[in-house]
Amino acid sequence: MSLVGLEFAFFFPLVFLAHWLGPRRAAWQNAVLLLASVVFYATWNLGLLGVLAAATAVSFGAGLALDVLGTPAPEAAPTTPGRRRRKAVLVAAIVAELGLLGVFKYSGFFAESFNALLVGLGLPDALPVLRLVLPLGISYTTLIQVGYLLEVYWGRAPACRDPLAYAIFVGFFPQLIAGPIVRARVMLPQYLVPRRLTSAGAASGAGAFLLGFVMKAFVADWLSPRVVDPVFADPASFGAVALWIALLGYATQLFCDFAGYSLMAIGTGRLFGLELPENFRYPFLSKSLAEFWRRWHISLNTWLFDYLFAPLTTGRSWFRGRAGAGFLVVFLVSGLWHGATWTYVLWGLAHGVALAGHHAYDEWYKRNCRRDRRWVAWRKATPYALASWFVTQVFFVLTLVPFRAPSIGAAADFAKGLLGLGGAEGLGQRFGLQAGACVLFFAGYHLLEVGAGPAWKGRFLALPAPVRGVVYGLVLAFLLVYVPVGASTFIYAQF
Amino acid sequence: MPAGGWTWGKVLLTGMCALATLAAVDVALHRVAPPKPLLEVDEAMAQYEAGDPTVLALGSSHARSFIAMGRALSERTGGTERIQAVPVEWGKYTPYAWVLAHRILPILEERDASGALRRPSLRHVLLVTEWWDSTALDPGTGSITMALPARAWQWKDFLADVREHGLTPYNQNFLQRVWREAWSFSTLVQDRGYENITKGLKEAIRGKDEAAERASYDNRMRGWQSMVEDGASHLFDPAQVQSLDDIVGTFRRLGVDVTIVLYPRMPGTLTQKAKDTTLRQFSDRMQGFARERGVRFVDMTFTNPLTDADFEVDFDHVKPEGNRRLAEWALDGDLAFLAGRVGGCAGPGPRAEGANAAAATGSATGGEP
Repeated sequence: MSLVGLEFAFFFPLVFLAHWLGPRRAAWQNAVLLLASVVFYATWNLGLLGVLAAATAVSFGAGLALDVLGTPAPEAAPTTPGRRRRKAVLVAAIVAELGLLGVFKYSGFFAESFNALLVGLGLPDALPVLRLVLPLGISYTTLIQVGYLLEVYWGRAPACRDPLAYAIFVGFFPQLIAGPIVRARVMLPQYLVPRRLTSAGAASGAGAFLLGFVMKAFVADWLSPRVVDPVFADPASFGAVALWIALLGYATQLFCDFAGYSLMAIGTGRLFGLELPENFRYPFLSKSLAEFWRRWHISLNTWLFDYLFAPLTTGRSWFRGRAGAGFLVVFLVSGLWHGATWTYVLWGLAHGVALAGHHAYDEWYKRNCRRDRRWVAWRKATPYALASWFVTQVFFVLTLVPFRAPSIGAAADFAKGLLGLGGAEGLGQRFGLQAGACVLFFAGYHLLEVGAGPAWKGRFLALPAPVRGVVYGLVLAFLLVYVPVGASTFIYAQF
Repeated sequence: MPAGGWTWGKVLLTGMCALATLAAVDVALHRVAPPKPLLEVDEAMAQYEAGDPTVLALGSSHARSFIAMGRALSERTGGTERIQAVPVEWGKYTPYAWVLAHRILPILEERDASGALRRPSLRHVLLVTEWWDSTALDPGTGSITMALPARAWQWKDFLADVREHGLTPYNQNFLQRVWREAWSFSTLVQDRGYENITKGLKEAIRGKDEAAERASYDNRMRGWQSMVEDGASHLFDPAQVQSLDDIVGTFRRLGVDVTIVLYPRMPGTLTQKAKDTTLRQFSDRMQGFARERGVRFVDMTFTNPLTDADFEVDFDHVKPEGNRRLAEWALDGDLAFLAGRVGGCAGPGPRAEGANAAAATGSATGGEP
């Protein structure tokens, strides 16, 4: 089941009614959501539900064990038995969680890579290559659970003692396919108390869901088969302009697909009285790569920075104080998290190197600012902002070539094509009213956040309710006419 | 005041206005692309339960042509002979067999407290078919999602399939059907996938583009021609043949006279190559099959009163006027036995009396046992 599929139109009202018409108790509400999540998961693969259940039981039990063992006083020596036992529980639980992810997601990749190395050395294959079905959302649920364990270990969040609340914290169905990657401190307190449906929550939930649906079902699903897929499938048949259009189309598709999904998940959460974390904040307005990653897939990037980058660069290892090396590690991990292929490794490496480079440049620039205040003025000037925005966006878009390509070779061919000749031949038939509407929507979505945009938004929201209702009705009618039949699955569901 | 100024009153008012706007747009678009209600298996079975027909026309969407024939037959016989069409959209023999086993037989074999059949009148079955029904997949697409028993499912069938396979594009067709049925009055819902609204609006704004229409017509015609020509290499998938055999065997066991009817094809879509290969092979083998099983065989593929103008824009289905002419023509000719004028097989007695297994008294166009 998918949030954008027709089946959700049957599923959601049943869950919604059961959730709100039952007793207003957290246990009832959590039980309804857990049952709904189990059904949601089972429609993908009932057999793999056991994997998620086992992983959840391990992290729940480990959280309780960490709690029982207590948080030692800060002044206690690291080698005290209490600390050692807690660390052992933490390490064992994280190894179990990551081990599960490793077996399902990475064993094939590492075995293939190792075998390729052996073959390169003239030796026979040594490792069997497992082809396992990836449990739905395992990349997301694993990070949620590891984050929880670290928070409990560090004493930043209490261990959850309610198995129902914990299970729904890990596997709440809107976040199951593609996040957001929720945090214990934000979500668990919400699951432990009865929720109430407010008028504001219902309105903003429905609004977020509708906006997300437009992004996914109209923009992303229209662009994919008409502009993106045909060109990426056979780049040699298209000219350079067509390749650039397809690449920009893919950037738009990827954003609308994933941000659209996140908004639909957030909207669904609000309709159950829950506030899931924001996952995208207008990333295409970013004027630096660091800013971009604070705006794109926020829940993953904050997770990586809080639980990987920060401990790495502030701990006692070689990485201490070496932010550049930290960026490299974080984005290599991010690349591998997206998928067990060399194209994702290349993508992660490119971003890691670029962030390290940008960090070094930023430090150098700040030193100049301290020496000469004119550097501060230059940075605030419009040309600098425009150049920064342009370089950031072009770099991000270019790195989508390996991200989208099926192999390093195909990525290289596509990249060569971008520098070649030729126009948009072959794409001409694919444009029309919908293409214009997609571009307008994408541009408008971002521009409403800059300059006078927020004021315009405010004016619309201040219109009388009937007028807004008419606008929403027209949007729905437009969607019914123009949303392609058979909306596809979400890109980020595969990760 | 709640955050964002939303009170429940405003939420309700906004929602009502949105729905009212949607309804107004829908009504306005009725003129551009009016919804066309189509008979589906569910409704057909309800009609069967209520009507106790004497003739059953089982087939794909083409079986809907027999609604007009049913009217003509009723008129001719004063209502004593009644046809019930059971169209399985996008069906093939395997889906027909499923519909027979799961939807038709329970009704056919239902008995009252005394043990007598509740609906004993059925004497003839028309198996409405064409070459496509015998192929495993939709030639050219390789998509199994198009063979749709889901169009005939009930909720219990859907849930059983989801339990076994999870949610798949195949079983999601059931939800599509339920959704469309629930909104059968809505142009916006019924037009999804057909794009008649956008075409109609374009025409209303820009006028008809004759050249583009002609090009589109020619293009689709070439597509149809090559599809029928290519069909020869896909004919008679073993699973479909087995299902066909099961269907005929089941009706014969019930003592019902069976007629295999090859449905008319739009003349323009048939090249000489298609006639010599796909259609010839299909017709010959079906005729042989009918002979072996002792059932009637009527081939209307080329022999019919229809012209290209009688077919819908999809080049596949016959327009209402064409259906009326086809009905009169068939009832005057190869299917005259339905009115009891020619041939005859089961005799006048009801099915319960076990008449007819020996059926198959031959056909107007061949198929002597």
